[in-house]
Amino acid sequence: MRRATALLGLLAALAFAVPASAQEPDPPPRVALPPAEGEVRPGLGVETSHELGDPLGRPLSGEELDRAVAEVAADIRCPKCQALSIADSGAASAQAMRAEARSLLSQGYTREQVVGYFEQRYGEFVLLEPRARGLNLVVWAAPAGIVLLGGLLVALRVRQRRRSADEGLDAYLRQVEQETAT
Amino acid sequence: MNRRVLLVGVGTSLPLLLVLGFAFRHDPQIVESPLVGKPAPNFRLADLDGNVVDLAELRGKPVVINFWATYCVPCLYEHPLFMEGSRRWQGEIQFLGVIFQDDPETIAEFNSDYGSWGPSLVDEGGRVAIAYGVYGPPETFFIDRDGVIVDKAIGLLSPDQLLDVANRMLAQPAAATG
Repeated sequence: MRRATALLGLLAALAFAVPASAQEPDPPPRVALPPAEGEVRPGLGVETSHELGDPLGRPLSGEELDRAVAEVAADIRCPKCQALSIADSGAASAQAMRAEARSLLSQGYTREQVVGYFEQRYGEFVLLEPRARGLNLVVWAAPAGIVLLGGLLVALRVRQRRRSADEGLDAYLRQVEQETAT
Repeated sequence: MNRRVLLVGVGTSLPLLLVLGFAFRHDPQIVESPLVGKPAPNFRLADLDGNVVDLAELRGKPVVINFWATYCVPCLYEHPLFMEGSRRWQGEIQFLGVIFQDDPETIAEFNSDYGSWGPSLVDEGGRVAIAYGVYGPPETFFIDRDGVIVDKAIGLLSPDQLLDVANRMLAQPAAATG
């Protein structure tokens, strides 16, 4: 009988204890909940429209948008990587930049506008292919210049050798003529 | 013959030396921001408690924006500096932290443990970091009373640097604001 009473008491205590702990209110969240993926909170974000101007193209979607994003991404350097485009990088920065490019292209901004936007923000360093202007022209012209200079040097050398060979032959022929004449 | 060798040697090495000399005039790790001297991109971001901060509403007061994260060691070294700065220039300079690719919960725990020197703003999708051309934390932008970026620091900010730019921004007359 005592055992049964004790068991009932224990069960009663548990019955009260479990709901009591279950009814405890959750601690208030310490931070505002982040948005779900793809969700945009109204009014939050950054103003880019006055820097980009009006879209000069048409809004892209589907496969066309995917292609345009891939093209832009291939030209933009990942800021956190060594000589990798944002298309080739899995870094969070590269993902954010691809998402930004997608967003802008889907709003009708052209490929040039989007690339120009990244260049405005990060500087020309963000372009994997530097623009052919100013000091950059050295980079573009140097290979062709070196090939031309090398070709010129080879041509001069060949001409010089041919001339010296001709001079040697002439001297030899003169000597033969002199010896056969006597 | 020796003269020719000398001429060829000088002719090939001199341009190379000139290019290298020009290229190494400054630290190649530092990329100058094209945004310095231009209006700061405006943003509206929520802090960890959901309070919205609008940069445009801070016009008239110098602003220091620090992109930071708890995984970034230099950011942790900067923390006491910003704590001191926000205390010293309370009411004069607004300090804002923008979370760079970090978990808001982790930031909240860090702030709870070590204190907070200003609102920690949640940059959803990293769009504000892109608009400011941030390569990686920590990067600090100094915005004057007119909303123009007057300076930018990449990496660990030194006390002298903070003092220098803060004094410059505070020296700008408030009447100049539009």
